[in-house]
Amino acid sequence: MLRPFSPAGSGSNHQQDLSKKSEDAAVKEDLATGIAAAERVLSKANEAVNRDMLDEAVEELNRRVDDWKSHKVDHFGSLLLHGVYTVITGRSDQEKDVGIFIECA
Amino acid sequence: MSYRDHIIKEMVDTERKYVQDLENLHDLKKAVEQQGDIPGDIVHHIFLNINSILDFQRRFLIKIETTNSMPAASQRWGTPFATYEEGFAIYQPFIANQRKAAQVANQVFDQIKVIQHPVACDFNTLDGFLLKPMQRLVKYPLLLKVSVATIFTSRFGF
Repeated sequence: MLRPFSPAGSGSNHQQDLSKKSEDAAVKEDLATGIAAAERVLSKANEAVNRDMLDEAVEELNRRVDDWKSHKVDHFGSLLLHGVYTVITGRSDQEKDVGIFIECA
Repeated sequence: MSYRDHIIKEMVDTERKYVQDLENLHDLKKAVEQQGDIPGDIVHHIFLNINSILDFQRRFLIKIETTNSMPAASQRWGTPFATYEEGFAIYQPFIANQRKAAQVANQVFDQIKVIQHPVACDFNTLDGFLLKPMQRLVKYPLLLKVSVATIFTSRFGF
């Protein structure tokens, strides 16, 4: 973009240009701060959705397991991972719907 | 209208519409409570803290309108989001409860429908309203990122 020719000493175009540049910089920085904040808010909301989906999986798991032996689901802590995995049991490799818990003391 | 003006208008218009939607959802909650057939804890399971979200979002809208009323060069659209970031935490319980809210609303929907409130004309409409808070949070970063693009376009007279 060509700037109009200005004789040496008349700096008004240059100054306007500089102040516009610093205004742009201020606007950009302000937007960057705002975007970071809005993204953190959204990220926490997505975590809440994911946690809710895992809770739903626990409820379903609870319903579907025939024999919990001596375990109690309530003592398992939070469900960390859920999905269909290949599990190595005593007899053979089987594909099972698996939930991984962490046991809290 | 420049590209920048267009984006700002979208930001402001959609924010006003969103607050209006929250007002309508809150209005349904009051109508359900007034009708008295559905127990209070069931009402709570559906609407949770929509009152707080509405109050918060009204204040946020004022900040948006104030920014919009300033001269274009002085407007700082990132500031409302930075200022109110902690306040948005009230969305977490509501969003965490979304799935359950829809389930419960579905179970008692016949009792909600008799009130004949526009938000609950059918279950899909009510479900849509319950999802609007999450949808708005998704939209905010997108609106701001598009605003960044307009800085460059305005330099070239778009």
